[in-house]
Amino acid sequence: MRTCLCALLLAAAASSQDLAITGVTAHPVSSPAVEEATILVQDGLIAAVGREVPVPEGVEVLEGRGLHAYPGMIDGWTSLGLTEIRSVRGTVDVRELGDWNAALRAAAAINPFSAHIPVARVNGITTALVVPRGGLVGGVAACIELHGRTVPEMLVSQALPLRELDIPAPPVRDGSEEEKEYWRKAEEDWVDLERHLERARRAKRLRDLGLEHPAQGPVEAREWHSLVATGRHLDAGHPWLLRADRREHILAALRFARKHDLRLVLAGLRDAWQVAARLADSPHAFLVGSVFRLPAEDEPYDASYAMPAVLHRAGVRFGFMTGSSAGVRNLPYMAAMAVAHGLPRDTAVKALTLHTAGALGIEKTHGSLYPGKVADIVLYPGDPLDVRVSPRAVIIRGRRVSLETRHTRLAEPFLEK
Amino acid sequence: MRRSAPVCLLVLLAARPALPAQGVLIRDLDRVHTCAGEVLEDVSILVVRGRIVAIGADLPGEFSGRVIDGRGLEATPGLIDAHSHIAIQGGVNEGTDVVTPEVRIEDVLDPDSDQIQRALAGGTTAAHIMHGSANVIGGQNAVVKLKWKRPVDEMVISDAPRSVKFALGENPKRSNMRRRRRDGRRFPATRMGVEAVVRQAFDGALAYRERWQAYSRAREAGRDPVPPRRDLRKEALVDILEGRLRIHCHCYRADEILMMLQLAEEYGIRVAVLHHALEAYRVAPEIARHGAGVSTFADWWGYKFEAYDATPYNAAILHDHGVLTSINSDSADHIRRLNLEAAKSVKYGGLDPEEALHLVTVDPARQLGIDARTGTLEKGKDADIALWTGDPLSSRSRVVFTLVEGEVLFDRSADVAAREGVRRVLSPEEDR
Repeated sequence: MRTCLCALLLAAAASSQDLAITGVTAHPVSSPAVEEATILVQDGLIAAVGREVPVPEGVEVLEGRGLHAYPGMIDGWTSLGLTEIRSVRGTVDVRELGDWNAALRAAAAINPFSAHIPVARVNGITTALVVPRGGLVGGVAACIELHGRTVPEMLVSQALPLRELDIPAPPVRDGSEEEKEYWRKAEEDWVDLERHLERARRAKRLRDLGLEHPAQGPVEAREWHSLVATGRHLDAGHPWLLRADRREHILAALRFARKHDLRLVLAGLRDAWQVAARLADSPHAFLVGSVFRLPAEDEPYDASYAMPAVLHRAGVRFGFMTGSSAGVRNLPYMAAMAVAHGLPRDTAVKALTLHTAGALGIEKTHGSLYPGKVADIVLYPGDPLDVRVSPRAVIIRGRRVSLETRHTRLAEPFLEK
Repeated sequence: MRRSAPVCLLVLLAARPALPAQGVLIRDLDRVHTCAGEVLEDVSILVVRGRIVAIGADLPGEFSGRVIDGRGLEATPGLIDAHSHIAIQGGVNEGTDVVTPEVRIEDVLDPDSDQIQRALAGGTTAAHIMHGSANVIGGQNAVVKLKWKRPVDEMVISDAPRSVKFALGENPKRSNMRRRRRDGRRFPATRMGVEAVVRQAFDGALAYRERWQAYSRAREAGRDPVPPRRDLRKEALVDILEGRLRIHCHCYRADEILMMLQLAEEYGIRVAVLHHALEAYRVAPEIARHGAGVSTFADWWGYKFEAYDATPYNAAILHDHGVLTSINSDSADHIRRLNLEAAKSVKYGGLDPEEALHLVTVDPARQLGIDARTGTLEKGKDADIALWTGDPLSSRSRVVFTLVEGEVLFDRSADVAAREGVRRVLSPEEDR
């Protein structure tokens, strides 16, 4: 009854990056599945996918018969590497102090040896956006491959340098003083943000003229730094990453973006089913993150499960995100739950791969099994959306990575009686 | 293991043609996961007066009660959550004192809570509604059927053994509480203190019992003594020591689990169930020897230091050591998909799928002492039934009907039909 864990722990330490996966059912995502396919990987990239692909001599062959090959999944918003144990402050680097943190970089603080990273990748998630939060502008997110010894090694260079906007979400709608206070504060936050963007444009212009920051002292210097960083981001026309869950919050974000001609990557989206048509008509990208959450009292029981299907029917293209670290491994099951509630399976798989890649600006290199793309490939003995199915092999940048994690290591001594 | 049921409903019904109208017939189910050792195919379930009276292959000719078309559906026992805090109006913790076994969850149950309806929609029909973990010895828990909008007395399973919450480790130490909170600085602040609190409470209870025994002896001797002052707290502690109130203990680390088991043994009692117990896999033989069950999470980890040595293989390792194991939700959200939490034990540790299903049906029923009436689909059991669109362990299946004691308390098509306005976009083309 029990699969021997040792068999699962096959740590293939192939140093060569050339690899041929043969006899596999390939699911390129961008095109229909191919049975009995060969996937040829060279120099960490996918060289060919098809039935008639010759395997060059000397290339390591991975027998894929009975297995299904999918592109590695991408989590559009995580705190991987920025947090280890949530309640132990010394292990958490997610939120900086102060309102304006555009100059901060997640890449400066990611721990490549976090136990959370292998735990996520052995369930088929090979790429993730790591998002710093804190203040109204949280910092620059980093897109990483979930394998590597150093951050520079892990960084996906093509990723957009998304900066995070963080307007606090509204509390319960109960008409309380707390709620009224929230709306007052939210209005102020948008006004502050508006002023900040204006000052940022000016600061950037001054900087371009060769002027260093005019103020004195460390706080002022930090603000100047942040303004210049925001200014550069605006100049480059890069999108802003914004978590918005409540209806009012989503609509306010859309209005703000229109007014200031910003492109957004809107994430979370718990109430998006109520305003799906508005999202479809907008130029922004979307990451669904609120499938596994309890609906509000006045919502149908399946509102969060059915929400992705509503967006799909309205013509909205979206990816998925967990917003988590320890829970990144459960990313595919959000999509599975959406499928059980009306999202076509093909769309769900695209959302987990190609569409998230699109939202993060890495669709040219990630998200499908296509020649020239990075060889992030996962082999499953069944359906990756099924909770019971685990990957047999995870390949990141053409390299087969170990399926060992903190969790298998802890369990191993106790598995054989 | 799979076979068609031999019971012939037709014969049964011919012998007793006039069925009472308060019955339900679930006809032609693709599959019935009995959780009693069998998976039956192409069978029907007949329910009369809240009980299962037959599970069999043939159909009755006429039936005056409600008929549910089971074609394309699979049935499981209603799922059971051994650890929940829903429907108690926020009254989770009596956190003002360290020992409070006199308080009762039963007193704060809210049968109108929408959390109950949400849980029913996920196929859950019974739950152990527990006191929180703010104090070492918390309050008395309630074992309930999820009878939404019924009087509290009907929800509570009156013949279930009484249970009390204990808590070890970081939570009763209040280590993750902000210091300025009023209860942020109180004894105990270490695991040593936690043990001392339990020992002191037990010793106090023994002394209290001795005072009452001395009083009884004096009365029997014909004297007229002054009775001791009644103390509800100590009375509850005496109930624990005499086995009338069973210990359900929140814990994480292997060392504190052993501490608690040894402490219980010292006082001649047994811990009924260890809850969470994320490091239980390290002391599975000791837990099995003591005879405690474990109710754990499928894959939660990393949220505090005592959850950092967690492994999702925990449930499978415990199960293999013969420990009675269940998977619980501890969440108003996760209680809506306990089936998927159970399915994770197939992934982590390779449990047989039917055994995995037991982790959220018959196994928690046994842990709560309600297995004589629920947790399996068998003749004579309460008709607590969930009907699924497919394999109950598949992420792609969903619940379409949930029955509690024969009453349909969740019906997806009725739920969908009642939606108005913008809510209709959630279910535009309902297939059933």
